[in-house]
Amino acid sequence: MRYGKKFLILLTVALLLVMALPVAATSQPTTERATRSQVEGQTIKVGTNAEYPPFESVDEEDNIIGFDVELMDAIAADAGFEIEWINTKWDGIFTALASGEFDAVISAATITPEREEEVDFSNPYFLAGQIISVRAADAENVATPDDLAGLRVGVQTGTTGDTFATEIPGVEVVRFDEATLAFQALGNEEIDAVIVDAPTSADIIANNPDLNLTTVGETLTDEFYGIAIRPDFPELLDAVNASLVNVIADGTYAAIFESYFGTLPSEDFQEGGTGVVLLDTTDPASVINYVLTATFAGDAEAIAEVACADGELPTTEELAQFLGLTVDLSGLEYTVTIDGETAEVVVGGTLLLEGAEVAASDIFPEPAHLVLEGEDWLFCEATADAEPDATEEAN
Amino acid sequence: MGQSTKANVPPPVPELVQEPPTVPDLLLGMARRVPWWAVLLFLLIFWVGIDMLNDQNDRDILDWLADRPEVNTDELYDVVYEVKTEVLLVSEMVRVRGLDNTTVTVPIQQVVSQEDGVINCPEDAVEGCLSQRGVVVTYQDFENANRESPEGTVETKGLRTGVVGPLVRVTLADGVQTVVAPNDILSEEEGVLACDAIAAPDCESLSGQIITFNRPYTLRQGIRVRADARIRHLEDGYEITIRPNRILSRREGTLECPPNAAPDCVPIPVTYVVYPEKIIGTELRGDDDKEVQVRTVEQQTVQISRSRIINMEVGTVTCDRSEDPRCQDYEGTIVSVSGETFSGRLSTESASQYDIILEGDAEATEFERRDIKEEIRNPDGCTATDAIACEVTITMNDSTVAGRIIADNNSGITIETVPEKIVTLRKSDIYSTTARTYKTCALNNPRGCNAGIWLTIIVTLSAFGLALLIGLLMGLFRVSSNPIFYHLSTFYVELVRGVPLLVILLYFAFVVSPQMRDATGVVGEITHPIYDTLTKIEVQVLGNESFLAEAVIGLAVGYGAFLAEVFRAGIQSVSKGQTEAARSLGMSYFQSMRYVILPQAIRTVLPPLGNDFIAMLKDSSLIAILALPELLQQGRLYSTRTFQAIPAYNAVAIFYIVMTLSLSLMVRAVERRSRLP
Repeated sequence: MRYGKKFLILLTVALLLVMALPVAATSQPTTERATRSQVEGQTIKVGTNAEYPPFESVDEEDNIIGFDVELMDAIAADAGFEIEWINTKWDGIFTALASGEFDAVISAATITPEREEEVDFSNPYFLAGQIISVRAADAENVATPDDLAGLRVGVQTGTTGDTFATEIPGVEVVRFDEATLAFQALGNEEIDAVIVDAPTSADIIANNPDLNLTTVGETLTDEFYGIAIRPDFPELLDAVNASLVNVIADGTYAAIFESYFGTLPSEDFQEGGTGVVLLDTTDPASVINYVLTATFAGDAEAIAEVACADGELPTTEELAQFLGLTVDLSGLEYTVTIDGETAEVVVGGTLLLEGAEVAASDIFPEPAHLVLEGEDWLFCEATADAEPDATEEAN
Repeated sequence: MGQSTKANVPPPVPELVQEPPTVPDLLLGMARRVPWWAVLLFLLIFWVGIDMLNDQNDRDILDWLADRPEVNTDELYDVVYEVKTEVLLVSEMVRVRGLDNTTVTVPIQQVVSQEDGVINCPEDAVEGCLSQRGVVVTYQDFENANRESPEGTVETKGLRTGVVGPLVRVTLADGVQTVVAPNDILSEEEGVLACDAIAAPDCESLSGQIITFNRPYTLRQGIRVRADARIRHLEDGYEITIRPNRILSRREGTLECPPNAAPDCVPIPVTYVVYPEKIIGTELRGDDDKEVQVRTVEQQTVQISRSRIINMEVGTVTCDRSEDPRCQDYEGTIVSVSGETFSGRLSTESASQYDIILEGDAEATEFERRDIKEEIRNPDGCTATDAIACEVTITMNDSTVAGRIIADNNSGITIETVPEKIVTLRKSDIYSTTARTYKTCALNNPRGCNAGIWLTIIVTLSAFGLALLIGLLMGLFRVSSNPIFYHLSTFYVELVRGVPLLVILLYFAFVVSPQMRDATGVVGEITHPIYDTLTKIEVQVLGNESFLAEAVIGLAVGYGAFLAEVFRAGIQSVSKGQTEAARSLGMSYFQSMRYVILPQAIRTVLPPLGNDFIAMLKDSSLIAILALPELLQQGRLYSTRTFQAIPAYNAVAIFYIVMTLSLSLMVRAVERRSRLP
């Protein structure tokens, strides 16, 4: 019920106390240059399906080019490994990866739970979504998935667009091997619409003005592309994640992005950014970590994402007082106790506030509670029913 | 031995009584003719097939690849019919994207103009600004209006709620809070501010000091992303958003007060619109030719054994709107069910999961730890890593099932959790048929069998038949003495034989077919009827305009070249003296071909024809590039969806080998039959 508020009040008091302390001399540089990656000097086999411009395609001289390729090269340069590119079919690309045919796959691949069971994914490197494309003459008739009922919709087999289109009632899904063929068939009036990733759709449509196609509406899904890594190669996963952050922070990412898409990427991916880490809501500890991070960043929207339906959220003004503090939460430890549909998370370890090390128990004396909704753990006061507001009154 | 009927023959020798062969003899004879390798392969397939049929997962794959044939079905078509329906127009708005890439929703009342054009970046634009082309919407922006120099004002009413410095705070009818400068106020009086009863039927009107003021706005521009019309169905209040250009007609009317309304209720002026409502579902077999029955929601039932029922009570069932968005809550039964119990050998376990090999299963099943109520281990406290097998019995969490009880007997109850919904449409009411494709594959609905192995068979048979015709014709041309025919056929054979089949398929689908449809003039008059006929055939076979005809013709043309060479070789293998003999008997060229040469040639070419038939059956998998759901395509789809590549491709291979093996035995039988004595 009031947990969000209580939590914030606690936090405020704790923070004020901490700030009253003299900034301790114990502060020391926390960001040491990461140790050299464990894959340095190795040759990594990277698979891609080079039929997906502008992410990957084959140029006149048979070189694999594209956004993904340049990004992966930048990551390899940072981590110090060599890349052997392998152009392969999209179908079965993850099965091949899991069976060890490649070490990694970068192929505009959306991170999905089903795929994550087979392979490991790096942190997201691109935000994309599916979008509907139609012939320009039909642009007025279609904008949302509901409008597609009764139409023949082209997709690329096995993509997230395929999954999405299959779930729209009344839609007949026509599955092509390549996105480009689907657009060709759309231009030839063999099918009525295409659902493919937005950047690819925009690129194909812009490069084929004679087909007279257009994208309509807004992106249907929020999807993140990730670099898939062979599951038995965690060293590579760590190296790729570390180098992805470096490549984003030094502005290389933004430069590559701008050269392909004409605009700057979102703030997280611009120079000095740290990229995006997907929230694993099936893990209570990561939910609490997310809430704490969002609280210190003054991001009410982010907290709302994992809040209970009846949870009261802090207002922006309440959050504002935490802004401007340098906080490093990486030293926190979370002890999770799951009891049926509720979880209790005790925050331990230390955090760095304005460079000073503070024990977490000083700031978070009480455990945080989460409740389970479907597959996801949500942040709210779970004990409200069992223990009426007595504790709150006492505080 | 023929019997003579003439009288002057010697007395017949006692006839050899030939007893008709017994059935076991016949079978033995047939079995002897089956070669040993075929027996071996069939045994292998039999063994693998039995193994697959024993596993539920593999059975799913086989079902999926064979389009799940049934004996009897009522589900004839997947349909989307459109029916004219009158509904209430709740609101209309446009989504507009500005140059800064933010999107806002603008009610149609605030839109000043919409026309095709370009928005250019201003001089002081931020980095990354791109000019945008599209439908430019100019609209009144109240929220971010420049109060000092507005581009216009709209007379608005609001409820006074307080003051902020020199400004007056007001709440508008739609709940938006804003502030008004004193010199914008036109009048102020005690009254009631009616809320928008169309958008929110349960809203409460505000009463108090009502201020009439000039609300300033600034004109802004953006590119239209989409236009929406929110509509409400009259019978059940179901609201959806449609594109405004689907509205067929509009009518001004009033929304009458409901029977139990407050006495001061006044009818509200509203707009009623007629639009083609989409009825999506399964068309059922009906005996009335004036009506069609469409099942829009499938019934879902849950069976619960009596021993697991904890409690049953009557209550309000909250319907599942993900299954049926238009459902209404109803009185039903709410059953508390104790969790199911599973037992087996513990394979692995983690903080959140168990993997248990259930009794009778080969592979482990996953269980989420949070779904489990209690567990019993034998021996007590054992773990997966112990040397001896760790037997566990787990009981899942209790759950509730709500719905209507439709069957109740000794073993348990059956609860309908989602009721079936069938819409009956008069055929005369159907405004348009947007889609109508064959649905379930069954003996009484064979046209529903049009995916997976069935499509492979349909395509191979029709393409091979066509290829035989092309091949025979071109083969005859190849041995013709007429230079035109000879060179024409040689050109065809050399051209097509040199191009990969995949290229031919793509060429027919993406070049020839659109060219035929779009041709104009004399060419168009020839190609249009052909194109239309082929399209009709496609609709007959698959229920939609797919690439089926293109695929069949592409395969036939590609294989025609090889068959032409086969027929040429066959004809040339018959010695030239036979033609000469036939011609000298007075036969024409065609008679000699028909009665003397071809019957011998065809015997010779049967084995290579059989080869090509089998090769085409396998090459029919290439049509997947034209998005046709044939056997291999379905197998790949299954493996990308479930990541079960090995069983899926195993099943595909088994289906192919069963087909080719049967074909090859058939070809052998035909060869034997037609062999010269």
